[in-house]
Amino acid sequence: MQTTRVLIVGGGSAGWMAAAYLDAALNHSGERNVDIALVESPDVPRIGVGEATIPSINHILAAIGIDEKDFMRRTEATFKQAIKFTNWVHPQDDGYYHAFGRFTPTPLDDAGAHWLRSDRSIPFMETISAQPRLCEWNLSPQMLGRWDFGAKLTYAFHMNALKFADYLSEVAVSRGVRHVLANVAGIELAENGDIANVQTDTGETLVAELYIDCTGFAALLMEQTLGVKWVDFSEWLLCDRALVMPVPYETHYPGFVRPYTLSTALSSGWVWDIPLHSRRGVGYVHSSAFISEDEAEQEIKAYEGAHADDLDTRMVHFKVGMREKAWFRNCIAVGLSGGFLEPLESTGLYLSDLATVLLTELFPHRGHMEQLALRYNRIMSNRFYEVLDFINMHYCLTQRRDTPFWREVSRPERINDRLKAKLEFWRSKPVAHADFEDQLMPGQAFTATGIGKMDTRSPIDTGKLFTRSSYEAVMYGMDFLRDECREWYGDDLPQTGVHRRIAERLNQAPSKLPPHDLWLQRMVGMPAYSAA
Amino acid sequence: MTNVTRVLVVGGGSAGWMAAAYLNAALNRDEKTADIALIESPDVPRIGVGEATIPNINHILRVIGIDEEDFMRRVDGTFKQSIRYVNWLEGRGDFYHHPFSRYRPSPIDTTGRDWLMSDRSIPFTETVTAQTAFCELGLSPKMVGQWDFGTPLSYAFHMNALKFADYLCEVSTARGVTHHLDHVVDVHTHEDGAIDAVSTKSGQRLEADLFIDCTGFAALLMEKTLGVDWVDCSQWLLCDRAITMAVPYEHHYRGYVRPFTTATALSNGWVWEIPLQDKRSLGYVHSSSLLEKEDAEREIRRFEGAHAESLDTRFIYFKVGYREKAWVKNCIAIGLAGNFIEPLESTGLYLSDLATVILTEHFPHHGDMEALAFRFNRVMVNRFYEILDFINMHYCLTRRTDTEFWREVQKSERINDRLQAKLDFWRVKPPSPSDFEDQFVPGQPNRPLESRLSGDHRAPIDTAGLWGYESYEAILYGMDFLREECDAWFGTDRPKTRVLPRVIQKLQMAPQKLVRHEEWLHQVLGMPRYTVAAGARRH
Repeated sequence: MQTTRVLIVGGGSAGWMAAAYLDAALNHSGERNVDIALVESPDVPRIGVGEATIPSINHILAAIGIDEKDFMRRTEATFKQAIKFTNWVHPQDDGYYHAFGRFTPTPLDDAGAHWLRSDRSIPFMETISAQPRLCEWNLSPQMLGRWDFGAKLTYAFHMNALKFADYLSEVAVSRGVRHVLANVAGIELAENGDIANVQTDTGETLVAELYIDCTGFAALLMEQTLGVKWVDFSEWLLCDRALVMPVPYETHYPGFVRPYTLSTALSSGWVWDIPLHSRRGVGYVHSSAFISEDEAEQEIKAYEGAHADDLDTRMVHFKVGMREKAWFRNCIAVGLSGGFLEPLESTGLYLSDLATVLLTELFPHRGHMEQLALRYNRIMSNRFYEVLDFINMHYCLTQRRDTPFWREVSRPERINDRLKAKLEFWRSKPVAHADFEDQLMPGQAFTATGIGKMDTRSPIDTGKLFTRSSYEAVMYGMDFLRDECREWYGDDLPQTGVHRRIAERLNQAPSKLPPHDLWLQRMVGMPAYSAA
Repeated sequence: MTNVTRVLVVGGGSAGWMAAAYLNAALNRDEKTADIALIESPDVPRIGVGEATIPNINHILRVIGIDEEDFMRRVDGTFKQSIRYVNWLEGRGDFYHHPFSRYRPSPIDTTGRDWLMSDRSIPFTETVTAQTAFCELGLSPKMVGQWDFGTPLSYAFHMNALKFADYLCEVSTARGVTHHLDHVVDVHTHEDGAIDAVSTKSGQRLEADLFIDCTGFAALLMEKTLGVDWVDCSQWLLCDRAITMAVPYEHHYRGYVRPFTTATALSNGWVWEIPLQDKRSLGYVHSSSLLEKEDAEREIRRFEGAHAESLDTRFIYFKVGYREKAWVKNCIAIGLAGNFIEPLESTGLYLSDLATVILTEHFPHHGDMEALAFRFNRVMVNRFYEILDFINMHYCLTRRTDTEFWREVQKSERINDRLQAKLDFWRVKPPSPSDFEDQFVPGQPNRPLESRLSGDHRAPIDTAGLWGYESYEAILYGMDFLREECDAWFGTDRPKTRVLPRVIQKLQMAPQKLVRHEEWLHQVLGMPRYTVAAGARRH
């Protein structure tokens, strides 16, 4: 078996995740199939904020072979069981949960249909998952001792992304990944247009068969060298900036650590609220066309409260979209260089993780880059569109009309054609399982080049990440099909019921699950703070 | 409250009764949303042979709310854990299994790759599951008492399809499905072309909002009334006839009941062997243009042995293909009226079951059939092509050249374009999970929607919902795929094939846990103990 040389350019969380995962997955059982080097500038600061993940992160940790508690200690990680969306339907609403775990009744899961036929007196997610309540009670999804509470609760993590990159770097380097601390001084192309080598300002020439561009939005290899275009999504997602503000527990500790990400809609976007061991990270994602920097700062400080007045803020600029081809010639863009969607469903790290997992499956052990790239690009772009639709949906189901921003996002031209067709179809038949095997819906424009506007894939549209249970969580959380149900089932509807299994679980939860902060203090060394 | 939709199922075979029983159970759980009637002719005989299923049948039974043991008693059911393919590669006694269960080691399943890098001294499926060995040992997938042997084994059933239809008829009529024993003499349509009612020999006029055509290949509503075309797929699958034969255990019992289906390749096709509680059912699936009836009859008798001389045989004719649209206006074709693929992977009943499940999801509670039909047709036709490719693959990987039939099936024009592109791609990179999210692979023409891949009349989507990499690995590696490529990639001096430790543990414990299949059937279901035929060969 020949050894393939891989050079990763850029050392953020995307770069180090690629390095550690590829090394673990491809060099297993003592084989040496890949030789990995990562070149990272000592000068370029990493973009890193408190970062929320989705459960796919567990696969990455398991494949690399990382102990969960060690990981949590090193990256200040806390548990995440859900995202709670507050004020997304109305300016002052109670919020709804998109929980990671839900109970699936067998043999037929008609929980959605049941809820639609009820009076909606209990939010949908609470009828089918214990997690919204567990989140409200700030309970840990893990017990202090050995687990004896039935089916495991599904969770992901909040973590410090900078520390995560450092941690992965340490792991990867100890296993043989070469770490080059230098600036890229030049990139040379071969005659056929492939990348031939990367030269550093320390005088080294780094040669590989495969180059992974993890240089962020700069896309040093993919865009600046190979000229692969960026496909812009800003027509559907208006936000292009985030104002971030850490709130140290030393300054203000609320007395609990939420085991979920809180997403609260503000006047011109939404704010994330992500707890770590020593602080909360908050960030106001907004559209620069609708709100000035000063107004954004006032708003995020008002959101946080009086104690926020002397906290520092920092503006992060971003663009939503994806690389037209994420794999071109012998170069693959992973991370921001490959694409970015706003973090409303915490898909940032996920898209890098998917890119890495997929590359492992499609790794060019024996060349054939073009065929492998075709598959890679189809699957990656398919997933980008899937995430785009799902995030787009969070905005366009709003009933808010209180600011220019919310009026703008509910206009029909801000809803992409695929999503429009899906929502239309789900008004004739509620969302169900088979809808995600093939998402081409009636009413989607059939054109010679693809589906709808801007989408130039040949028409395939498979759902793998956000399928029925996620769509139900958001749509029913956002009160979808209210008028239709009245028409179908009348006004005199039975009270919403909670599944028996959920009620049982909630009864037992307080005796099984500790408060989240207590678990963190006992198990992974979070300091104890006194509540503000 | 909800309006009640009237459904008339026309035709009472296993497809018709499964639709009636399932729709009734799924749609009328809390309140009545569908009023279901089934009309079945007292004159038309049902097509029914010993039938093998795949594990999806368990969903159907559970939704209808049928007790498994009761079901098995009533339909002469036996367990099925795998299909054993004999003589498909070289025709000299070679065989491989496609079992229903296997391990997928986490976090990364490298078992396929590990096997490819080894010397292939152990067949692939034996490295990832104990079920292949359980089959060879003739063991039951269930314990006689309470299960305490780790993860349950996946299984399906062999059963008598006629008795299954009778059983479902009994269950559904007891729960309020109306049963008309009458002959349809006319079908009436509205001005817009939708079906309004059927009139019957006894002078009844039966109206409904939705009609389900389960009249078999005749397709009384779909073809004769609505004129919906049949798409022929015989270019890829040559077999169009089967000669069937039942071997009663009273007449000849070998002393065991195999817990799997056997598919043995013969000169011009293959023979199924499906064990029930009172007989084995055999059927030689073959191509009528390459094999005379007398030769087929001689061959199946020779296959069974001397005791087969006195047994009756019967020919069944079929056509491979599907209804261009399975749902048109207010009519849906389920069963043979909708599609047929030869039973090499036991997908016959499955396609009816899928149609029924998808119809439940897309049930027209509020009218508006067009959008629902659009989706139903896409999902169904996609699954049909998935099965077509997979069955096609069983033939085209053969190395047999002993008859014209086996030479013919390997010709490039007998391998459809989608499958050829997949096989080519898997020579670049062996099959892996993401291949089945989107099966559009390099080499398939990337053409606009209006144009088509050969033999493919869908807009180009190709998603796998039935078989993932696990099943493809079973067949591909069972058929010794990538032999030369692996020699080139990994050299010829390769390590011995290894079996997953969990599989070995399972095999070591099996004798204390699992009894032989026939023993389970005797003890739990009361299957009679037959006298073993003199000179019967142990398998």
